[in-house]
Amino acid sequence: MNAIDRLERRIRGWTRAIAIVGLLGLLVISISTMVDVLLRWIANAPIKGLNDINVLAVVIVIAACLPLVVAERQNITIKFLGSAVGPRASLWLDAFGSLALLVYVAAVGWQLAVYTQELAQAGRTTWLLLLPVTPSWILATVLVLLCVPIQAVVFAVDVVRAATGTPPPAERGHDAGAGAAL
Amino acid sequence: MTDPVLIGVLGFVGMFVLIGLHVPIGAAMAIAGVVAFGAISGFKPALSLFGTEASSALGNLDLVAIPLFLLMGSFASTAGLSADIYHLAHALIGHRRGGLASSTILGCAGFGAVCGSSVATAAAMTNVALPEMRKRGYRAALATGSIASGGTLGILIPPSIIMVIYALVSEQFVITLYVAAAIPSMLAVMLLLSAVAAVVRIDPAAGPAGPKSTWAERLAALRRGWGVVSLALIIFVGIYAGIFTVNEAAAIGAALAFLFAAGRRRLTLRAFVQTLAETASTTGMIYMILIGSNILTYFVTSSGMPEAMVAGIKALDAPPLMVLAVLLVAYIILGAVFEEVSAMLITMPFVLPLVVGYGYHPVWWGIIMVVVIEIGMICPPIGLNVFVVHNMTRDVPMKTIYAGIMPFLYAEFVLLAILVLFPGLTMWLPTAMGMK
Repeated sequence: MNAIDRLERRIRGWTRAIAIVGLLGLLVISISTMVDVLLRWIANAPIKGLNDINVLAVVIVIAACLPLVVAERQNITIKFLGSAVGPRASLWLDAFGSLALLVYVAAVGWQLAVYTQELAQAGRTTWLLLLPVTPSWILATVLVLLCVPIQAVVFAVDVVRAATGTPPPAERGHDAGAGAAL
Repeated sequence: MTDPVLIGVLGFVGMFVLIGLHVPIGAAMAIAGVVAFGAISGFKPALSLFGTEASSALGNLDLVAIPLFLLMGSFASTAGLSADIYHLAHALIGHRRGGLASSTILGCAGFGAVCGSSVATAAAMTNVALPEMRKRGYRAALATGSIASGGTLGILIPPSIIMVIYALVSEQFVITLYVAAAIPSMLAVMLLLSAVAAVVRIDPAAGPAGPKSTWAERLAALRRGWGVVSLALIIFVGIYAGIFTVNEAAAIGAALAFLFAAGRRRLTLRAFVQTLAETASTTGMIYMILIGSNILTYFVTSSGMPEAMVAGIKALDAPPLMVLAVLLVAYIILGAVFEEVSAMLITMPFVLPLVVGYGYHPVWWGIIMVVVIEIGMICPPIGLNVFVVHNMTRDVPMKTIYAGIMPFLYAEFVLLAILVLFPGLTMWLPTAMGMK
């Protein structure tokens, strides 16, 4: 299990780095928006096309957060049944939940790739600056597709844990819910 | 089996089964939604929902207010703004009997105005207010109860992140919800302060009086609190006066909170990275649910289930208030098993049409939902805020915190009853401002 734990920890480190880069982008968006509002208010001269740039950036920022959620097992799960059926069965339920999440992220990644392909074929651009939207969506799709191998590792870890009866080292966010964040 | 309503019901049952089998809620909503929609309209269009709903969530600029408000709250905590607002309230009313608990409520309200998170508000106030209350000899029940319940103001007082989520899913304007929340927020603060007053009236030793702050101390607290007061004012005035949009308010709030944290030299590299990582994690988690929720909503709407349910319930000829009461009791019971925000998202596709069908406004229902979520944050057996306070004060038993919560829980129920019985209280301001 040590090698698996090390692999999981390493994946968490990578995804954390990706998410932090994404959030730095969000910070840039917030500061540039503040400057835009100030310029609009004081000099009636907003930054031209800032909204176009933000539209492209936001897609990447949000997609950059998703691999971290998968790697850190931060998805909201209700473990009501698990506590009733005993620890071993609960581990198998965890593995089943991981499999379902793998299906979910794979399906979202696949269909986003289809969507991005359609955008590229249509040659869609932003409203004002006429910037092509495809590169942003390609990067976002890659980030979402990155969730698939990560979740596959998480699923494999859960299966091994269930088969060997090894409990997870520490609960990471499970059962917490969106309320924990809000 | 081609009856869409029956398929809709089976889809819902399937979703709850998946959730029971440890499937993450977002995935359960999406998978059940796609499978049931596939049974109604074919699997090719059903599969495409994964792409269309994910892309509409990722590319939705309105939703970016969520990570921006989260970022603002995190930076505001790092900057120590929660301590400033508490100390300001403490300097003004802290000397009275129960004054520190009242200061905590006001501190939570003030910090809630720059942080749309209930748990973050409770956590910040536990650090700041609890040591002061303990030093003064407050009973642990009142001290922890006031913090856990005061923390819930974080989601009712604008800018609230839950209201952004509700607005998106119910297709309402966030700004209307923020305006509608103004009177309920004030009412909530008054009721929680009344709960403190009631506790110290029954048991004066629960919150003994202390020395009065001098005017010099009050002025010093005011000087220290200028940051949080000005940040809250900028956001409030900006949004309510229409100077900037909710998204712009969120962006400006995040940028200013970042500048405060950096300017006060509290933003070490470690704290900065930690803030960004935590915000990213929460953001991703919310989006995972929102994508699932979008898919579920699409399927439920297309199944015709809400219309059938509304018609069925209306045929019972039950008074609207009774239907509302049943719904609210169901939410509170559901909150014992489910986390409330998820419960709201899962049930919204069919509950909202029902409520609207009885002539109520979706914005009013949004405020009611937030109050129900507030109750869920402190109501046993889950009560997330209680867990947060307990985690930070291990020596105070859970049962003591829950005992301390009770007066505040009653106050929340009174608030809920008032808002349900008098919808005009919530809708008066949006109507007066021409937003309804």
